[in-house]
Amino acid sequence: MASATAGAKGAMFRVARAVRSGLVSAFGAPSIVAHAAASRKPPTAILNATSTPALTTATATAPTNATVRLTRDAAVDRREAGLTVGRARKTFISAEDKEVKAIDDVSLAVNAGEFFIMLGPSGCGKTTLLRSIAGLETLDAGEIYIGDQRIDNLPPYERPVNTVFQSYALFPHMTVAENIAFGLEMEKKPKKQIDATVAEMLDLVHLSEFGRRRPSQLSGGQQQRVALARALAKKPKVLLLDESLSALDFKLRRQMQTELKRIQRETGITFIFVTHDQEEALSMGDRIAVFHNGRPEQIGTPEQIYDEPVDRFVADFIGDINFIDARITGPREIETAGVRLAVAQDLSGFATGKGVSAAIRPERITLMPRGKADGAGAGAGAAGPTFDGKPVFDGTVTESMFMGFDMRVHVRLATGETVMTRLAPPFDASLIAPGTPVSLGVESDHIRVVER
Amino acid sequence: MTRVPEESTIFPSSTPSSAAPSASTPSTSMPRHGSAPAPRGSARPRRKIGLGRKVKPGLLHRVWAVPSIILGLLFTLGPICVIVAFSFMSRPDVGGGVKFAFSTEGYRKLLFREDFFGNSYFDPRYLEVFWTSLWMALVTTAVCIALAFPIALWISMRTERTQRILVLLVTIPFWTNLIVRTYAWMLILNDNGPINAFATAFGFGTQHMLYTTGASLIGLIYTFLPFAILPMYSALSGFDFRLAEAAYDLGATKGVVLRRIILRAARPGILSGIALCLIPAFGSYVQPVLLGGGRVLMVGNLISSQFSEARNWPFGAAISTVILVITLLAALVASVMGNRSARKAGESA
Amino acid sequence: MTGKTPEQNKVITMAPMDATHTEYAELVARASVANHGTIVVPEWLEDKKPDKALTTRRSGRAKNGLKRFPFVGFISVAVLLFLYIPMLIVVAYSFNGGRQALLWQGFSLRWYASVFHDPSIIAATRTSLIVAVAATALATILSLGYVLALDHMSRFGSKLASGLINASMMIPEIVLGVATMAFIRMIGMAPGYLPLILAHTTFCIPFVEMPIRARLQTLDRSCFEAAQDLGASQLTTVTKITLPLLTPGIVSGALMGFVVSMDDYMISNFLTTAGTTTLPIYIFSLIRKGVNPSVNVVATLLLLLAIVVTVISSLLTNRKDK
Repeated sequence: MASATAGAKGAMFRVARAVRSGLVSAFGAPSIVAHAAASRKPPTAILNATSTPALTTATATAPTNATVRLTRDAAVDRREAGLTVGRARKTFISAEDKEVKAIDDVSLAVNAGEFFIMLGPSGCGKTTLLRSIAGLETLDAGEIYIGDQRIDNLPPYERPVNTVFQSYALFPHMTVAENIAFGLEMEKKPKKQIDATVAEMLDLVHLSEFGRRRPSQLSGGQQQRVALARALAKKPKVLLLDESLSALDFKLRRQMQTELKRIQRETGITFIFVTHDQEEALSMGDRIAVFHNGRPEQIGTPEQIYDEPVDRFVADFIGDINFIDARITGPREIETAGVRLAVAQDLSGFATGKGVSAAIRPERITLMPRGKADGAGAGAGAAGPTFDGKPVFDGTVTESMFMGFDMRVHVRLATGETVMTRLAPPFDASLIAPGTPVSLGVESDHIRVVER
Repeated sequence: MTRVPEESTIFPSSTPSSAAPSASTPSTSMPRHGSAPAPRGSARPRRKIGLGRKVKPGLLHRVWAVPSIILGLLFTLGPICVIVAFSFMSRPDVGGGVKFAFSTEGYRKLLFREDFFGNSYFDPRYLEVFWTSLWMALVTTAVCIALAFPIALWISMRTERTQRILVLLVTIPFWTNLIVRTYAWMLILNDNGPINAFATAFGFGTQHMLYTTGASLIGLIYTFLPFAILPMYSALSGFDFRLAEAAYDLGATKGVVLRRIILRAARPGILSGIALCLIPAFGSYVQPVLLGGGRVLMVGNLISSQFSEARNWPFGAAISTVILVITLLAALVASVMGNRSARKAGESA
Repeated sequence: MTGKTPEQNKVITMAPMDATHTEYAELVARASVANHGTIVVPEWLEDKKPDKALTTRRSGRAKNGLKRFPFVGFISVAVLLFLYIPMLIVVAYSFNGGRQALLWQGFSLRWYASVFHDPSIIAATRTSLIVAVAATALATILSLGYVLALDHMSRFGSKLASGLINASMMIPEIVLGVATMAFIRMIGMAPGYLPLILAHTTFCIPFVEMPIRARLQTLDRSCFEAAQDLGASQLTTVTKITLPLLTPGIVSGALMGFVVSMDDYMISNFLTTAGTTTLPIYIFSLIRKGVNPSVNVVATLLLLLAIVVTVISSLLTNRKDK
C-alpha cells in the first residue's frame, strides 16, 4: 500500500539518521546535562541530541517537565567534555531600569575538538555567554568548566581560552608578528620559541610574508586571519569566535568559512563560534545551539536542527519554512487544510484537539498539476487525496519568483493560507503561472508539528 | 594665558564637537563630547556600575583619580574658601594680611565711604569701576562675536584641508603669550610706532593712542577674538549645508538663509563665545594696565592694588568674592540656557 | 517568505487613477488588477536602502555659489590679517639693528645676541622652564590617572570630579591669583618653587586631560579586552596597550600644559618671590616702562613656541589611527 511504502521509506530514513547521529554521539559524548526534552510550555528546555543514542532518533522524546540538572558523575563527565556550562545566569539592568535576562539558566556541554556553533538573533544572549566563557563578563550564577578545571572564577588572563573578536581588535601600534607574539610574551616564553611559534601561526593562516606589516595596512580578511593566528598562538583549549565573519563580504566569507573548518580540523582545538547567520551555522557546525531569549532552544547537528526543529522558533529561524494551521487528532495524526494525515513525530505532548502549526520546508513540497492525485480513500488512515502515498493539498498559484537556482512558487490553499514551494530547474511553465490550479504533495515524515 | 571656562557648562551638548582649547583641529576629527562613552564592540544594555572593585580592561581603578581631585580641591576650592573668608575679616593695623576678626568693612567699602568725622555716605566710585569693566567687557564681547561669525562661516565653507589650515592659523594666536600679544599693540600704537610713522608721513601729526581706553579695548578685542572664533566655528562646522539648500530651494534669499537658518545653527557657538569672552574680559588685568596705562581703574587692577600697594586685603577679598559670585551666576545661566537649547534641539530632532 | 496571507505582507493600496501615464503606471495598473486592487511589496524591496542622496554638504569647491555670502570673505581675510600683522610687526622689529626699539636702522641680529646673553632673561627663562616642565610632568601623570579612572565613577562622582578639576578654568585669573596667595599664607607655605609648581599644575590639568580624554574615546575598547584575553593582567594592559595607544593625546596634552604654564602671568605674579621670577613676570616689568628691544626678541621666540606647539599638536590629533 502506498502508505506502507511511505512508512518503510520513513523508517529506513530514520534508522540511517540514527546511525549517523549515533556515530557522532559515540565520540566523546557526555552523558551529562540536558535530559529534558522539548516541552511545549515555557521555559523550554534543551534538547541535547548527543545524549544517549536513543534520543537521537527523528522523534521527539516524551516531553517531561524535567529541568536541566547535572548527573551524579559530574566530575567524570566533565573530564570527558570539552567545555561545560552549568546553570549559568546573568541579568542586566537596561537603560530603562528593566531587568533583562541575558543568560537564563543555561547548561550545555561542548565536546572536545568539535566545531560548536551558538546561533540566534541579536540580543538572544549568545554573545554574552561567549564573553562569559572568555571572562570578559561575569556570571551572576552558574559554573563553567573546561574539562575538570573550573574557570568561571578566574580572570580572563588566566583562562585557557582565547577569543577572536568581531572587530578583530588587533593592536594598532604593533606589527602583525608582534600582535601574534603578544600572548606568548605574556606567558614569558623564551624569544626563540616565540619567534618559531609566530612563524608557525603565520604559516597556518597563509600570511607568512606579512609579519612586518601593521594592521592598518591589511585588508579585512587578512586582519581576520591575523586575529585568528594571534588567538591560536597560545594553543588554547577552547577558541571563541564572536561573529568574526560578519564584517567580510560574501565571497571572502565563504573562503574564510572553509579556512576555519580546515584550521579547526588541523589543530583539533574546540571552536565555539557565535553567529546570527543560520546558513553559516548549518554549513560549518558540528553541532549547533539555537539561542532564544537567553536560552538554547535546541542543540543538535545541523541536520537535526533543520529537519527536526523542536519548536516554532527554531523552525522559523532556520531556513525557510511554511506554517499551516492544523489540529491534533491523535497521537500521530493531525488534520490540516481539510486533510487528515499521519505524521512520524510523536505528538503525545500535545492535547488532542489542540491547535498547532504544521511546519513544512518548501523543498519538501512537490508541486504538481491538479488532477494528478489519486482519488479519495487511497491509503489507510489518509482522509484526502494522495499521490504516490503522500497526502495532497489543493491550491492555486499566486505568484512565482525566479531566484536563479530555483523558482519560488507561492500557492494559496483552500483555507486561504499561502504556502511557498521551491521548484528546481527545468521549470514546467504550465505550473508556475499565477492562477494555475495545482496540487501540493508532502511526505508525512517531513511535517513537523510545532506550537502555533 | 586667559582662562577658558569649563567646557561642560559652557558648551551645551548640542555643540557638535568639542570646544576651544582643543581646537587645533577641526571638529570633524574630534569625537563627540557630551555623550556617554559606550564600550565598543558591544551593544548590550548598560550595566549599573556596582560597588565592586571590578576594573574595566585597559583602565584604572577609581582611586587613581583621587590625586588630581585633591589637587583641585586644595588649589582651587581652598583659595576660594580662604578669599571668601578673608572678605569677612578686618584689616590689621599695620601692613598687609588680615586680622582674624569678623567684620564686613570690606563689603561696606564697596558702597560706602566714611569721612573724617565718621559719617558714611554712598560711594559710587567702586560701582563705577565695576561698570567700566562691565561695559568694556560687553563691547569686547560684542565686537568679537560680530567679527567671529563671518570668519567662522567663511572657514566652514572651505574644503576640509583648507579648513584645517585656517583653524590652525586661528589657533596659533590663541596659544601665544598674552603679554606678548598685548605688547605687540604697545609697539604699534606707540608714539613712535609704525602707525604714527605713517601718520606723520602723511601729515596727520602724532596720534597719542597708547595709554587710552581705546587702546585697552583694542588689546582686549585682539586677545579674545580667537576665543570667539573657535567655538563659533565648532558650531558652524557641524551645520549641514543641505538645510540651507533646502531653504534656497523653497525660495529663500541669501539674507533670509543667513539670518534664520545659519544664525540659528550658530547659536550654541554664539553662547559659548559670549561665555568665553565676557567673564575673562571682565576680570582682565594685563590689557588695561599695559595698554590703558592703568589710568582707568578696572576691576583687575583694583583688586591687584588692594593686595600690593593699598594693602587692604579684606576689601580686595570682598571685590573678588563679588566677582566670584557673578561668575558663578553667569555660569549657571549659561548652563541652564545650554541645557534648554540642547533639549529643544533634541525634541525637534 | 512563510505561509503569510496577503494581509500579512506589506500591502499598499493604490488606485490606478493616481498614477500618471508612464511605464510605472502601466505596471501599477497591471499589478493592481492581478491582485484585486492591492500591491504586494516583496520584502527585498521594502528593505532596500534609498539611493544615496546627492550630498552637497562639503561640495568641495567653494565656487558653489550658494555658499558664498557677501562680504564674508572680505571680513574674514581682514580679521586674519588683524590677528597676524601685529605679531609680524614685532617679529620684524626684533631684527632691528638700531638701539631703539622702534627706530628702524637696518637688519641685524644684535638683539638676539643680547637676549641670549642677558642674565636676567636667562634666569627668568630658566625659572619658567623649571616650573613648566615640573608642572607639566605632574599634570600629565595626574591627568592620566584621572582620565583612565573616569569610566569607573558614577555620574555624580564624575561630574563632581570634573567640576573640581576644571574649576580653575572658570575663575577669573586675577581672583585665582590673589586667592592662591591668600591660601598660601593661610597654610603657612612659603612662596617659592613649591607653591608655584603646585598652582601651575592645578591650572594645567584641565588642558592636559582634554586631549587625553578625547584620544581615549577614539580607541577601540575591544583591544583592551583582547589583551586581557591573551594573558595580560590589568596593569600590563594599561602599560603595554593603553598608554602606547594614548601617546598622541598625551604628547598633545603635555604640549598644551607646557605652553599654558609658560604663558601664565597673573597667578605666578602673586606667588613669586625675588628668586622665582618667571619669564612673563620679568617681561611685564620690562614693558611696564615702555617698549624694549629685548622684548621684541623674546616675543618672537614665544611666538615661535606657540607655532611649534600648535602645529605638532594638530598633527598628532589629526593623524589617522596608526
